[in-house]
Amino acid sequence: MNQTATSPVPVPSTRFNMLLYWLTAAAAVLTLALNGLAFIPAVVDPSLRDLAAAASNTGTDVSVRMGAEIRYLSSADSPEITILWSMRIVGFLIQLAHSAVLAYGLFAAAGLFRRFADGLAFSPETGRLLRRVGLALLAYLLLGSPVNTLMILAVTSLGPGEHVLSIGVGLSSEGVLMALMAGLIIALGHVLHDAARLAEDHRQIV
Amino acid sequence: MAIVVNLDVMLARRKMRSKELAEQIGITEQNVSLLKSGKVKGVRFDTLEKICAALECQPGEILEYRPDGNSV
Repeated sequence: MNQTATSPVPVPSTRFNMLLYWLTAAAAVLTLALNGLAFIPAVVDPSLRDLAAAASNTGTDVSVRMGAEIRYLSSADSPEITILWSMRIVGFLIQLAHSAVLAYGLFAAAGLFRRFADGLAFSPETGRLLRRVGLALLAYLLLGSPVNTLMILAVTSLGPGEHVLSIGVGLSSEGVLMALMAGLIIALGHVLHDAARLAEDHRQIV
Repeated sequence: MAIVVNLDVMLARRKMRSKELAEQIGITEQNVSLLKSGKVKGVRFDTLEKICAALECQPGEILEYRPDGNSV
């Protein structure tokens, strides 16, 4: 049955939801766009700096291979470090893939606020979108450590000298809190999905 | 659905239009139309009471049980 007995339940704070829609959409675009910073010579990811320091400590020469775009001292006693463009590109792609997961969640959140603004709070799609937000957040958190390992491995593989395999497994209070929030959002998504079904049933009773 | 809504029959008997009934019982004409065509999942007692009052009839004259092959 396509017809419903009454119009969907309107949400009063349309403007507020539209504001949230624009903010989350902008945040999603920004999340992806900020990866472009990898190509700005002045900006170097701190993890790369640490990597360079680690490489220099092990006696690996990672200095002056291609171009001399960026040179800086990673620490007082380490040599000058050059970040190769190939490193930048691989780093950019890995980081972009990681950011895309978060951007996906943010775009889903933007879609959710858009539906709220349109007065479609109780529709099955809003439940699905909310679940997507939670799943994307959870995936982003879980991918943090593997992405870091992959980044270091890929970047050191491109440079001269030893390859570095860094596996870090940590449990920060912020991470746990974020994971709990993600779980809560997923659960709320399920609740909203069921609520939408009930609202649909309710609409078909006159 | 084995429950058949005979609202259109009652409206014809009373020579009343859907719009008029909708105004009297305080629901939209669209909902009256959906009710007439049986495209609703349920009717509130409150709505049924108003319809019976407006059409001066019993609930049994509006709703009818007609068993079909799929009914339990």
